[in-house]
Amino acid sequence: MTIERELREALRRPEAPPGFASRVVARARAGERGEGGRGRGNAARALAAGVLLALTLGVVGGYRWERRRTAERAAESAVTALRIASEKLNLARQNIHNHAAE
Amino acid sequence: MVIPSALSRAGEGDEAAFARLVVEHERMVYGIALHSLHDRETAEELSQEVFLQLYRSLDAIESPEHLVNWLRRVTANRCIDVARRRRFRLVPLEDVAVAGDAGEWRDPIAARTLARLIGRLPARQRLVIVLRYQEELELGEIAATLSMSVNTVKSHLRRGIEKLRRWLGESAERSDS
Amino acid sequence: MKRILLPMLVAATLSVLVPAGVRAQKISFDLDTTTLAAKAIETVEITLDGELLRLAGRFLATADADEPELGRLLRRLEGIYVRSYTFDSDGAYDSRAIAAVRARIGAGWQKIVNVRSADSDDVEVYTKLAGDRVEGVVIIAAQPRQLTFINIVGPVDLAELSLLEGQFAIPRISKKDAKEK
Repeated sequence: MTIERELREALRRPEAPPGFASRVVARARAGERGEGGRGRGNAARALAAGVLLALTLGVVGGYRWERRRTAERAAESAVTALRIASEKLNLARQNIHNHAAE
Repeated sequence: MVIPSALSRAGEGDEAAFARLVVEHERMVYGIALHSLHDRETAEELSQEVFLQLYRSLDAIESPEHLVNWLRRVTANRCIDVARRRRFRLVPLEDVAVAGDAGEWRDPIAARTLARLIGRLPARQRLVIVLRYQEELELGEIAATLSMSVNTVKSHLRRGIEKLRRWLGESAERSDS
Repeated sequence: MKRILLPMLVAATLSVLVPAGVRAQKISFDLDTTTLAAKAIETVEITLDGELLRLAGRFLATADADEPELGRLLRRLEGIYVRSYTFDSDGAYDSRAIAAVRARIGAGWQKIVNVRSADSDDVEVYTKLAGDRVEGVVIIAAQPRQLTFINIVGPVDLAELSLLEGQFAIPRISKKDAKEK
């Protein structure tokens, strides 16, 4: 059947973006370091200050990032809702047009 | 002597082995994401997160076959979650991948049109179509991947193809007029 | 069976532009959604109001956003509530759910559209007016395999809302399409 052949052609596996695997491995490696990292030694106070600063920046940055993600998800939901509302309104309009045309 | 597979070595922390797994399966994962979401940036982000989840779950993967099924299932479920929330975003036709061997002639316009029309289907119908025609899965395999009954898969497939046929017909009419 | 009600009123209502400052007109959709969702092959449940809705509006209205008009529309609203259930066979849902929602559309609401198609798509549209201002809209779409309840609270311009067709990959209605049905 023609459409099935067209679907197979349209849906062939694409090439992954260049450097994809490297980026995944880098993120996996960064994730491990974040979980397992420990500070020790003579620069303990400096390290603690650095960690505190990083944590603060991370919290602030993380909060902002999280808020942006929340806003983005809320926007996606809002547009989905409006799309559905528009679709049903236009279903009603189409039916009215159809009756008027008869 | 048993030669450890990339899977078992990755599970033991071999980074190069994990990278090999990513390279082996990236087209499948990225393809499901891209054809479902029609957004390169989101598809790559989602694909990366699937492999990161794999990285954290390697101990639970029992075999190469299990790995493939796991990747498909996790990718499909993430796509369903994202696709429902992101229906508003239209992607320019140019951004939708048209894959295939460079040497083989294909009609890129028709492929892009069809890919775009697939993007109009509801999320689950879209996933069923992608798993059937990109991954060549049998209905039972699609059912297991998406946690639905075979009858539901059949229904999604039938209705999805009906809609695509109808839209293709409308699209052809509009381009003729 | 065909029912057409008040197409002229629909046209008049669709053209009403609405100022700000309206009271919330929220309809509760606390139905037996467990049963509906359990039977559905696809469920969309959206509840957006308060700070989340404001965040969404600000996000969409930013200069580099894809949909600034939507952001402006959203920022006028006070709530958007959607419950949509898709089933894999005709008549799979209990129509008592529709009656339960209708029962919550109380005094002050006016049914401005009540239309059924040849394909048995039932669509009802209700508005709550204060003078010439729309304070809320309820849409109930009962189709053979999909049941959808929508409540939009705030000054919603139905004409503006329906103009969103043509985006989101929804084809525009044309007289040619209507005649061919």
